[in-house]
Amino acid sequence: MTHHPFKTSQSVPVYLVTGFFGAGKTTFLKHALRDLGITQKIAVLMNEFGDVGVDGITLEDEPVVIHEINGGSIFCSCRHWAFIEALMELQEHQPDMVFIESSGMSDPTPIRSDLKILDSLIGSVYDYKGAICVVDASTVLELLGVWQIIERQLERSNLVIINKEDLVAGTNSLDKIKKRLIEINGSAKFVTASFAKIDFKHVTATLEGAVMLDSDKSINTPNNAPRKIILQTEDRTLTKEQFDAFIINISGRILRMKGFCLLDGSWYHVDGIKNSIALTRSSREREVSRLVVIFEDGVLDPEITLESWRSFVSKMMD
Amino acid sequence: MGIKDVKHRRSIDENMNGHSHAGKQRILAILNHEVADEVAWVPFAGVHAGKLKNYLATEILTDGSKLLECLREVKRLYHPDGQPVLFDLQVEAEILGCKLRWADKAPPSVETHPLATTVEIPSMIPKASDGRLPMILDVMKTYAREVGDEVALFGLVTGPLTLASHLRGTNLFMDLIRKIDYSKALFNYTSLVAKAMADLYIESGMDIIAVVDPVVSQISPRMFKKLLHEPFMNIFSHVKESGAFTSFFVCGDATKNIEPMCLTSPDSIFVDENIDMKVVKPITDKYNVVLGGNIPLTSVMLYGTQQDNMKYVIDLIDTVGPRNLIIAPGCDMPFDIPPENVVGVVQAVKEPEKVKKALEDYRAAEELVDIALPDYENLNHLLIEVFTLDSATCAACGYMKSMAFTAIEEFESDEIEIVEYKWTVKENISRSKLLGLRHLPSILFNGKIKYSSIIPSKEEYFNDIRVALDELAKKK
Repeated sequence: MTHHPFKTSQSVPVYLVTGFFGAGKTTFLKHALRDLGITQKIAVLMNEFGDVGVDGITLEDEPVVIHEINGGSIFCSCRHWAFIEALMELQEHQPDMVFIESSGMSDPTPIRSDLKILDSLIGSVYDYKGAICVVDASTVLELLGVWQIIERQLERSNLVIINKEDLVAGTNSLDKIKKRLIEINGSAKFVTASFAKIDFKHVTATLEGAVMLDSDKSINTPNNAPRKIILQTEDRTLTKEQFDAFIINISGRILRMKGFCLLDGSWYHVDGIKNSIALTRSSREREVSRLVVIFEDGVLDPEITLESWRSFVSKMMD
Repeated sequence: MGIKDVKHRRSIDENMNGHSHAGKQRILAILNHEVADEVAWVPFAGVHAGKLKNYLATEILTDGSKLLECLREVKRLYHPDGQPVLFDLQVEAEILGCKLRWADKAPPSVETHPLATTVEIPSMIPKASDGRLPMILDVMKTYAREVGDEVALFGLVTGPLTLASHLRGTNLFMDLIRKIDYSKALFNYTSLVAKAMADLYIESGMDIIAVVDPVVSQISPRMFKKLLHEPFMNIFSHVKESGAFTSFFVCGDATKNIEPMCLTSPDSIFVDENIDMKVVKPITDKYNVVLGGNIPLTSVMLYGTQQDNMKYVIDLIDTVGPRNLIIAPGCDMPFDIPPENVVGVVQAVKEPEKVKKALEDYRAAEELVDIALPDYENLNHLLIEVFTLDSATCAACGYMKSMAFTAIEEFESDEIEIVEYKWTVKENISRSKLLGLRHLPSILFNGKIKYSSIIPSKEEYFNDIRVALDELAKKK
């Protein structure tokens, strides 16, 4: 695996892949991953079970970090938190690029506000490059009359791949499809493809040149600097008592804390929000104890937390 | 408890004569489109209820005694006018053969679809003895006996479109084009299931049957009218005939479907943050349907401050007006929502004018009166300060304050001093800002936050006081 010593100072490009069930999203991703090659570390965020039921195509054998969100659709309002948490966790893998493959029933509209929340939590880690919508040329016109979700997926897209063009007889039919899609979103770019095969360089170049709506542009701004710190130690003699004292000292002032710690010889998963931090035993062993702590804006200076960590937990800190 | 008659459903508020309502009467008055004494509030504390008692989602969705314990805690802390007993859209799917995958902080998800490879219409209709229903019905009956006069109870059934997609999987999405007759037959079946579930829930004391169908936001209005109008209409009229009120829960951007949904004649529609309440309220008003919602779950309830939550509620009431309105979260509340944010919502619902004024003061607090904080470092006694939104009206604040003052009898008067500061008083807002307090209720020991939102047990509280007094003695 390539080592990226300065990765955290760069924003990670994020591409959203939308489209209805069976349109060819996963096939498109398989081609994209091959184009990108194994020198890049790619992460894919997708719904648990994906859309496997439709065509049986999966990313299981691909050299990618796959992160699944269970239940509902990625952009369902009751699952936004899981989407945001998943992107926070993916960041720990230090990927070069992230694809979000949304489920066929996902409305991608909230991605902007979700990324904005994420920015306010961890800073400008991700750089949203745009939405790619894959449609099945042989069914899209029929489906549009039935599922309004497809219209919303198209409306939010910067690039539309009209896939399975080989299944549509004659250029007239393709023109008719394109005309209808342009009526829905006149500012997106359109390309046609068979078997969702399209050179990923072409995708990135098209997205660079795509006219993005203001609201769709990357929401990363220099003003939302990270308000998080990572606490890490190799000390293997920490006690629960020490850790509890640390938690009490900083509780109520942090926004989020997550990670793993070796306490009294056992590994614990640490997870919580504000004044409610839970420790649960974990069977998985780690090399070091590591916590990510996110702060509420202007409430507690991270230095105070560092000081608490030093006083109560460990003076040895990486 | 028997099935209620239609007369009861429509006349519950007749004897109120302008007196202030209990929570349940408030909800029922609003559903009868009468003027209520204040805006009603329904916290959708599904899995989040578990957090209040340190239980995971799986525990409260499968263990009746834990669920009951959590429902009582929701009532104690969040003062609900109405309350769902269980928020899990997979109960019917599990009974009908879907395999579930369980999660710690969310309801389970459907892993397998029994009709994925076969085009048939099942005949099984859920009975009281199936799946998790014995536990659920038992909890409903017990809780209805306990709080049924005070709180309007919501029984949630899975809507016919969402249940069909659980059973058939992604094939359903093409069925609506290629197999219209099959789709109609499947919706007819899933609506029979919904009616059977509603009957069981009404018999177990539920006042309102909410048909929850998130997939409705994804279908076109034309197809809704063509395939789903009748199933929903049938369910709602069946429930009304059984004497209960009806509600249609949807999530996602269902703006275009609000009118077709109104035409199925539910008493109320609940929506999430994807819908602009200002845009759809004129539509629901036109059909005299109560609108509920839509505090954003993540940006406001999970990651916002207590003030953000209060502001959202105040702005919502100002924007759409209190008539035909119920305040609720957009959907099932995320597990980790900080309880103090919900407490802020409750306070804004119960005391909108006071909270509005306090929020204005909060925004202007930089220019407010100079407050001299005590010289905490050099105090020779323990100063216990309780900061509340308003202990008279905020339940959680009241409990926190009562706990704080229990120390008066236990400790000597020269050892401790206890003071309450209500957030509704201008000076106290400045004081809380100076102390960096963001969440109320909180208790501070000599200027340091000791408890925030979570009310300590008496044992823990007294013990902490003893430790603090020991430290003071050493300092002396």
